[in-house]
Amino acid sequence: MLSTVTRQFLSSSVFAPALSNTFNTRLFSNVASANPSLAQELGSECKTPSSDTCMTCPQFSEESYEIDDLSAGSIVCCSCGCPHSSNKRKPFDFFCVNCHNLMPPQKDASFFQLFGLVDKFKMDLKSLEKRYRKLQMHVHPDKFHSNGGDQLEMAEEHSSILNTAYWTLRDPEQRAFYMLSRRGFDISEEHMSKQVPLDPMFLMEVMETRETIEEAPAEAIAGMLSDVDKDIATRVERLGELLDNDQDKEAFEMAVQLRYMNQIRRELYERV
Amino acid sequence: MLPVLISRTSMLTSMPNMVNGLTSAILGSRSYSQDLLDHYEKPRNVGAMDKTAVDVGTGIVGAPACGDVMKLQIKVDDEGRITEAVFKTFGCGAAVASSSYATELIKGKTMDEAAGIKNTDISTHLSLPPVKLHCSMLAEDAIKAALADYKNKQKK
Repeated sequence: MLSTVTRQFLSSSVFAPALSNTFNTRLFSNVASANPSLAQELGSECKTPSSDTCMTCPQFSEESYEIDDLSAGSIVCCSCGCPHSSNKRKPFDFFCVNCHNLMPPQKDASFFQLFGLVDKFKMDLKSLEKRYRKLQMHVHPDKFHSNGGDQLEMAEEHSSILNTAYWTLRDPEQRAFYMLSRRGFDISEEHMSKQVPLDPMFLMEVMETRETIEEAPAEAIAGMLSDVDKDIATRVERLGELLDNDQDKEAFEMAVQLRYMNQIRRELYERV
Repeated sequence: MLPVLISRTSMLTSMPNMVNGLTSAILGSRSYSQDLLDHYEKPRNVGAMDKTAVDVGTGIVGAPACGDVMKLQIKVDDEGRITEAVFKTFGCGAAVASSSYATELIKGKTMDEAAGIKNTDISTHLSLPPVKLHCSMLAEDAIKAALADYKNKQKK
């Protein structure tokens, strides 16, 4: 049942132990994802437990996908000479329904859209990881070596974008800055210091904390680490509230403070 | 010898720092100049002064882009001349070197002369790579912050 390429990928990749039993691998072949009627057919036989989100058959949990019409089957690419209904194409529509070829990535798509997630700060990391792995199975370059040429190149691009998106959304600090950059904040280094004046009291505390860490005896480190972790957890929570309430300026300040706290955490962790 | 500098803190900082160091290693070019390395390995004037003292000005600045924090303190005599300067910086090699060099620059200068020091004076001397120019900006801001703090105290 497994194609040689898929089997090789499964056995070679890091995902091997977890995935080989869990997925109905027929669902993740190119043909299935590109062919709507086949997807529907497979959907009724979908082995994915109902609490999960199956990427191919239209059984999505509503809180993640705000779109009610998957229409994964209506997308065609230009290379097979059919109309390109780009306005209906979702960021995770990777394949043309007609020729089953990989289509170029949508560069402007947001990372949230790519994973079919709602654009808000609160993130279910398990769900994110599942979606990431499922999507990677569609487009991983290992599956395209026999195709070669453009297809392989596009697979590499898709895979790389998925990778960046996943690691950005996984980390609260990076996720926050990403969301703020989509809302118009310039997060490049040159602009960062001009945009938000840093609270002098906060800076002084950071300075003092880092000096304390430098001089602290080994026994004190674990305690300090636990305190910092609590502080970070509180900040992440607050950051989520600010972003979801569109209080962008305050969120930016909190994100910067979180960055400082993460730096402190790294210092402490090094000494553990 | 490839003096590619990846300091302890910078390695744990954002990817760009690491990529910069690695890229330089791969390209086989010096990442940091001799002057910069000198200031990083043997920083001058590391220390602290009593920030409550009347003749001391303390400037604490931060770089949101990388989570660096820099403290620079000055001691000023009755004629408005900076007699002593110390610093403490948590950040990458370029940040440490910039603040170290800054303390050297301002010692013996009047407050007005110190206020005239630009980040380019620091970045040129240390031959900072483009990605580290903001460190010299930070040092300039630290000098100005210390002067402002001192002036504020004199008003009281």
